[in-house]
Order: sequence, then structure tokens, then C-alpha cells
Amino acid sequence: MTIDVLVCRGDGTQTLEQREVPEDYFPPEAQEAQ
Amino acid sequence: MEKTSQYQLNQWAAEDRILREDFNRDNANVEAGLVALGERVTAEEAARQAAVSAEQNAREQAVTSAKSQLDAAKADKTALAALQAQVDAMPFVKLREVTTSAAAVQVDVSMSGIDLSQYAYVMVVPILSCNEATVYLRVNGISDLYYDHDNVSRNYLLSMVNRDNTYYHLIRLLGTGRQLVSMYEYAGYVGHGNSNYSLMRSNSGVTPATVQTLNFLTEDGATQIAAGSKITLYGVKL
Repeated sequence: MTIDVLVCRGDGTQTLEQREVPEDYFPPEAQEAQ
Repeated sequence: MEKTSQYQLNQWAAEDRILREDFNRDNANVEAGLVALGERVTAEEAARQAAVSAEQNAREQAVTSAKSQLDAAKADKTALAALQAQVDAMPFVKLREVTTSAAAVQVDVSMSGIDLSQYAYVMVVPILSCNEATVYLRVNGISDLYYDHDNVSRNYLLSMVNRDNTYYHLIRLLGTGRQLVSMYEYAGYVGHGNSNYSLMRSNSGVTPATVQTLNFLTEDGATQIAAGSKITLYGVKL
């Protein structure tokens, strides 16, 4: 899948990039602050 | 009677009469010419002296001005060095402040120029707008099971639960360990809080000195961290 990634550099510039990530990229489930 | 070509002085020929008036006129002309010449020489000398004096004054003023500027620059440099020394001596410093310019599923914050191992800890304050979603923190873009919490592997360092569209979290990334350790505090809701820690496993290769990016990502590919969200980093020096 493709996601939008905002890259914030040390010099203050920002770039919105499209990045291909695997299907299991996201954590399996939302957990209470761990 | 003939005259000289330039100053018209008398030139007697053999047949010319010799008159006293002719001599007197010539002598008067010579006198007037010498006086005029003397005055011109005096005026030129005075003008030359004035020009030399003016040039000398201008050069002396230029040298004085340059010296003053140099002294001022030295004073500025000294004051700047003193100010920098004061800044360097401050134990608590703001290292980075990011306000996001666009909505995104993931926000990568560069740690370039920040050597975490030089700090007791770097405090991360996320003020995110994310529509009630959980936001996760990763490091260096690592999405594999290199993170550890209570001896359980997982693919994120910590998660931040959204309450009323606000993240009540204070994250500290410790700079002194051989592994990257995070300690964080959160308020689940008003009057109830907790604190916890997690770390990156040593086989991740990530140490405090090699942290390059902090990655904030939402719980799925659809939810976004809104533009205008703010992430601030503060450092406490060793």
C-alpha cells in the first residue's frame, strides 16, 4: 500500500512523499499507551 | 626700436637713442613680472601644502575609522562569545520545533545535528491533531520487531492514545545507555496517569548516538496526522 509521509528535515524544510509500505506495516492493534 | 619676443623688453640697435624712460619701463616690467611670478609660486606652494595636508588628514581619519571599526568588531565578537558561552552553559535547550505543513499518515522528524548521546535525555512533546486515533512512534524508519516492552517484541517504540483529540504524553529518550530507551508519561484521562518505558533491542543496531529520525505514524493507512500538528524536542545536557 502507499501512504503519505511528511518528511521534516533539520533545516526546517518539509516534503510530502508517497511511500510504498507492506501490508503489515502498521502495528496490529491500537494499545493503551505502551 | 626692436622688442624681445616674449616680454617686449627694449633691444637697442646701433642707431637707436638711449633714453632713461626706456630703461625705467623695462625695469618696471621686469619688477612686475618677478612680483607676479613670486605670488604665483607662493600660491601654488600654499595650494600644494593644502592638498598634502588634506590628503594626510583624510588618510589619518580613514585609519582612525578603520581602527574604531576593528575595535567595535572585537567588542562585538567578545560579547558574542560571552553570549554563546552562556547559551552553551544552559542545561536545558530547545533542539527542534516542527509544525507540520501538510496532513500525512506518517511524519518523519529528522534528528540531524542532534547527538542524543550528548544529553541525559531528549524530551519529545507531541501536540498532534489526529481525529481520535492512536499514534505510534518508531525510530529510524524501523518497522520490524526490534522494539521491546516488558520483554515482548513489537514493531513500535510506544503508542500514544488520543483523548479528546489531545495526546497527553511526555516522552523522554535517554541518551546515556548502550540501547535506545524511552521513558514516557501519559494521562489517560484527567486525574489518571501512568508512566512506562520501552527500548530498542541491541540487535536493532540503534544506539542513542545513531538515532536519525523519529517516525510518528497513525494506526492505519487512512487516518492522517493533520497539518498544524506540532512536535517539539528539548534536550537536557549531560
